[in-house]
Amino acid sequence: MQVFKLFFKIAKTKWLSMLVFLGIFLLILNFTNVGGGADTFKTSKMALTIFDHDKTDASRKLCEYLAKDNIIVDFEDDKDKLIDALYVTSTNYVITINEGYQDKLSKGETDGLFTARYLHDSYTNKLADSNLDTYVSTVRTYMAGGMELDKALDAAQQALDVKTEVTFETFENESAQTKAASFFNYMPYALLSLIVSVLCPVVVAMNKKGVGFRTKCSSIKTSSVSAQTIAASGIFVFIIWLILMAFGVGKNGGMFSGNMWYAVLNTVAFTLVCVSIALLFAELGIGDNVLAFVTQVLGLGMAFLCGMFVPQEMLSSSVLAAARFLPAYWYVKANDMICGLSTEQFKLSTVMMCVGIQLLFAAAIFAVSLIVKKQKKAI
Amino acid sequence: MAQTVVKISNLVKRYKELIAVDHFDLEIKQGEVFGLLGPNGSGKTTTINCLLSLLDFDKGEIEIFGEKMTPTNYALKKRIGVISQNVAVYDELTVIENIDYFCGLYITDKQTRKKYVDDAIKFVGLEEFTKFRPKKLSGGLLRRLNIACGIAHKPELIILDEPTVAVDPQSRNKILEGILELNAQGATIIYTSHYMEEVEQICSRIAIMDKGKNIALGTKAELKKMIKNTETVSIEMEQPDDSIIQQMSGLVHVYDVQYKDSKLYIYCSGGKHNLIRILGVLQEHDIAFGRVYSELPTLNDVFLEITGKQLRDSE
Repeated sequence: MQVFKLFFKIAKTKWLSMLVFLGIFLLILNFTNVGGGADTFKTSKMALTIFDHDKTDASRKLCEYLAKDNIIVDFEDDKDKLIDALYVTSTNYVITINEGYQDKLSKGETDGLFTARYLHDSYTNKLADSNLDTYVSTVRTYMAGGMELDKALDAAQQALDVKTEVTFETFENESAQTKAASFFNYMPYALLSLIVSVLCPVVVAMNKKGVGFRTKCSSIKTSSVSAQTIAASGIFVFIIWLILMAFGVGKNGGMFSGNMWYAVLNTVAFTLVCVSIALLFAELGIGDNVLAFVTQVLGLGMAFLCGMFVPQEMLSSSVLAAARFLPAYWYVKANDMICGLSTEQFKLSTVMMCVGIQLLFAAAIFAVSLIVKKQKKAI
Repeated sequence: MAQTVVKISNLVKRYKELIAVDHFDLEIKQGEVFGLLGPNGSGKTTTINCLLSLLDFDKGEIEIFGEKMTPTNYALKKRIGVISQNVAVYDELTVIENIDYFCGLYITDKQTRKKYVDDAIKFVGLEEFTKFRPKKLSGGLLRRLNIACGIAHKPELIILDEPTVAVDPQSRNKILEGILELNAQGATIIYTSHYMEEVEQICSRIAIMDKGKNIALGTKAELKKMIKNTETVSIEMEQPDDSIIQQMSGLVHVYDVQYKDSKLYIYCSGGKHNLIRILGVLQEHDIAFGRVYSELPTLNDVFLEITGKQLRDSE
């Protein structure tokens, strides 16, 4: 069992990398929306400063309307002080209701009703502009319908008081399953980082030219060396998978029920993809320093492109078209369907197809690593 | 009569058009320190790799301890230790873990292995460095670790493939002393090198390889007898007249005279008083000269005369 033990002795020297990636995974799980926290909606309010130079009923009603959905911040009507306040965002938007506002409004005029002051184009300015336009056009609509200004102002106020009801759509049953869905979605990043960053350098170390020569000269059977290496790699990868699963269970509780077993199967398929990538990198002889960089580029790249961190349905069609050439896309697609995060209904055949495609990816990458190995031997 | 440990008969190894080993024959007896000398690319390492069944060969037979060597003859492999020119150890393991690992590839019994590992550490003098990782060791200590990994299982045949490449003189001497000690303990040694001084120093019998062929085989004395040169006299002096060179060439036992690098070289074959006669010519013509050297032939001279090139030049 010398070779078997050697594998774990070398793997032990990579414990720091393992801890770092486990830590990152735990942070991602804790600091992101893992099935909770996003169940309330609050309208965002902006800081408004109003100067009423008209001081009429109409201007007062506009002030009341604006005060309902915004935070009114008072400042001295001094240009420099206002610019400072806008600069330090003590206020987002300064509106001056010009003298003659009521007269102009009653005549249906819209020019020169207000003067607005803001620093840059931003969504808050657009929102304020839009609110004012909506208010004025609503008042004018009622007036065009034959109402007096006074009544039109009240009617507009009433009409604009109607708030849009915001409800959160939860997919199938909230709780354990939704939490587990997020866990399973983030898991490929951790699997890839952990397996590649440890398995690859261990295989590189074990296949080092000189020591390989020494092993070949020894009285240990070649088949025994291969069997021990495969067994050690398999057990190592299984332990990594088990640790991540244990985190999942620890965090989300009873997540293994019903269709969720397919999610577990999905992780097994992706684990094999990670193993094949690690072996390919090992054959390419990627060194420790480059490996950390490549692993992160690959891990984070797949995470963002394939919908681990952002739901696939929010990604553009061109991104998704490119992502289809990455195994993580099929992992996430299957996972979303299994966990009810997708608009598509659960279909076992689709899930199995996704799992199958991942296995094909693993086989293809493994075949490439064998070709690289053969090429290296020929050289 | 000593047992034959290695017998190579008519070995041929081709790499496409290139013949790396060309009808090579060799027999090594038990207890010998056998030197395989030759420039880089002469076929030494290929021969060793064929001997160890790491390479397929096109023709010939290899027997070790009277048994045919095959890639699956693990019983035979157990009796062989190999030390390559490159340090082949795991950077991730400590000195003792490395030796234990490589010893464990041959010796499965834990108790025996522990004793063997301790013996190997003592043998190479790494007692104070057992917990060190290879990266913390100096070049010389690394070489010693490399040797310990190859001999820890107490092999009867030890093959050392250029173990002193890029080693400082002190460590080199230590390694050579160690090899002789292993031989004294009963191991048969095959030592490949392109450093003729090392081979001369430790080997009892030598084969000189060039272009895959065994061009000379014998003891140091036998090899030196194969060549014309028995003594080379070199004298530091100004370029002499052609008449002087001609007079020198006419001396008895002198077969060649050359002037190069501010030295006059006089090559002699046989004779006991060549130096006196040569100096007599210089005295006769009142020619001033500096330092005078009289050297017996080296393996390099043997190689030079047989192949027409210097051993080091051909690297």
